[in-house]
Amino acid sequence: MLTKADLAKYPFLSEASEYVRELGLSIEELSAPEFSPVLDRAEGRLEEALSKGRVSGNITNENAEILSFPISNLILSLVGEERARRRFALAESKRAYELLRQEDPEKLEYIASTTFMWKLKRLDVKLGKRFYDFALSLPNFLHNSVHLREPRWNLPNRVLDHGFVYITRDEAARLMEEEVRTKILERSGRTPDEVPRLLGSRVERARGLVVKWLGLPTKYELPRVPLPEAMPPCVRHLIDSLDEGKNVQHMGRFTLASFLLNIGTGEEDVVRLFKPATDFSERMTRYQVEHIGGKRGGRTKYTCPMCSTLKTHGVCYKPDEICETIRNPLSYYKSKSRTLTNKGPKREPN
Amino acid sequence: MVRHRAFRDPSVLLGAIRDLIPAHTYFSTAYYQEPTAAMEEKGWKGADLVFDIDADHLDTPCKPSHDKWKCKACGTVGNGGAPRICPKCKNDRMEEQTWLCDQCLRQAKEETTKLLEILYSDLGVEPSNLRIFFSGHRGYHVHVYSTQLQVMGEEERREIASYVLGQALDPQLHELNEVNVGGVKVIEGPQLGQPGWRGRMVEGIYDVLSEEGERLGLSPAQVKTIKTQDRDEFFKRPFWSSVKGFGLSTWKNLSVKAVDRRSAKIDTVVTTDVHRLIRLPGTLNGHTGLLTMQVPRERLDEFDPFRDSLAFHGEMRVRVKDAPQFRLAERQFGPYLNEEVELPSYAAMLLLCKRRAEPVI
Repeated sequence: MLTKADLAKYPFLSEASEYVRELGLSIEELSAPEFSPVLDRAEGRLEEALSKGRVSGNITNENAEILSFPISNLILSLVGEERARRRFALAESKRAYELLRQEDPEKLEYIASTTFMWKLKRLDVKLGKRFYDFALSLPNFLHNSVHLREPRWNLPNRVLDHGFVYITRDEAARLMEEEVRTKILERSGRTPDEVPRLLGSRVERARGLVVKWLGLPTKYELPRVPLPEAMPPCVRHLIDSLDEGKNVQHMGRFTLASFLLNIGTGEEDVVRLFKPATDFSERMTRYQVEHIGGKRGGRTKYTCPMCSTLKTHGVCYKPDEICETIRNPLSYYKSKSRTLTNKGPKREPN
Repeated sequence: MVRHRAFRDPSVLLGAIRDLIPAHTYFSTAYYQEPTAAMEEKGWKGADLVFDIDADHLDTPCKPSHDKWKCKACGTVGNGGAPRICPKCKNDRMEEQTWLCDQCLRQAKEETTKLLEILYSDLGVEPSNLRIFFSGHRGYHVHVYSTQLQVMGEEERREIASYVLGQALDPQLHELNEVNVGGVKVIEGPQLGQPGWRGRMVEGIYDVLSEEGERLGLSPAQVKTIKTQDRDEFFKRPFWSSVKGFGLSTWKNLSVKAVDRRSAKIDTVVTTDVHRLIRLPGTLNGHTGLLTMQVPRERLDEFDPFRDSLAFHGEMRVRVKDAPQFRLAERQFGPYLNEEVELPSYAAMLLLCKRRAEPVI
């Protein structure tokens, strides 16, 4: 079913790993001059990913394309930079998407079911203007769609029929991109036992590339004093509602307390905020605030719920443009306070 | 509270329940490697998908007639939902008392029926992998047992909860659109019989059109048009474009309402929780003395929670402080006010559990 050209396009496939294994090459053997295109391509993949966020899908040398991929991963795992691994996984998965979307349904089906273990049915259905090639089992769909934020990926906006979600060919490729990303991230996260001598200098060069394109790892520090102007609309709305003596449901209260504690508000100040609540009990509120802060009970410090959770529970309120770019109210605060205080880069490179 | 217990054998569990005599018994819907270990060390393996439909979350018109409030400061009482502040002493500490009600539970059953239809035909749940339970108080629980769905995390479950609720469903993404056919604007949209929300949306529109047009936000002219339509004839032809004065925005608005009518009003918190504790079927609900029990699907329609979940036999004397009229089995009881009465034990237990009465010994 798969040709060598396919393995070059999709070097993350189990067949590609198998092909590499069968060649039985050791890392040391790769130091032979005839393999320098492989090492160069491995480095090229990394540099393209780091500099442009894309890895090119043009294939000039099939063997180098197949062999370089595991080496890029190996170098990355030796570099051990989380930011670089994420960026590489994203860039490679985008490359895969661009290539996958041009494949015929047979090949997509084969790759999806053998490499990603998808339960996929061929479909030949036109609803409205859209033509659906596949129906994908609900767990497989959700596993990937939850990472995607456009409304068309939300389950209520999909056609769901007896446990299968209708998808177009392009959507199948897009969901596979997510699979590829997770797979590569997982792969580059494995730490090898020792650094092969040959790769030593390449690893150093890759470290240099990471610093060149992503900069030194900086940790942006939140302002010492909480900045009310940097709070997201949902949190401001919760504070206003409490002020006006309106009843705020459990999820809203939890969101507010965990948000404020996470941006460094003192427990006393958080407790005081709840005073206007109709059912305010100082003792109870203090206990709960301390619990969320990790001082009591399970000793877990709670973080603020994700935006998707807040949407489900009706806490999300009048999202603005910054909301479009974040998934957690804390990121909103981080991003806006950074702009307001004019510190650090506008966006953290991934 | 006794938590983190595991039992290898039903008879041991039964023994423990007899020893402890708990007012409420729950079990975890999650599966763990080590169920008795501390929370972080249990080793989560998966969790059944559960749905909770509770009258607390439903907006039933009867609530003011059976729910009460009392001001904690001055003791003023009133019917229905509690006001924000006491009208007499302006204090804001309120106590609310809810009551069992036929109408609320009928509504909960209706929501459960809608949920089951979505689970069967959209999620593809096999009837044999699903069980329905009466909670013993104000609602129903549906448990889905599926190895495929068990391993889903919170985010995936949230999507399923949203789906069942039809939350933020965008009719245009279901291809309700205005298209240009040879210079004529035509509205196209989902058709009856299409899978998932598409067909259901059209069914919902059928329901919605029988409602008061004014309440739907239609103009007087549109209301008049609707009244002259024969609903059944109407759906036999491509209707999206055939109603005079109904444009895309009107249909979008009606579609959203249609989805709301057909969605199942579940409690999202329960469905998204992967560590949920839920009432153990076969035990008594300490709020009512009624039995938490399985209701086979084929018996759901005729199931009468106030007749079929009674657990106690015999008679009991109780002193009732205050209770509204209620029905259990085929008998009407109350209303009572500061009186001593001899009642069937199931009725006496309900009043005791609801703290409306005290035993007379």
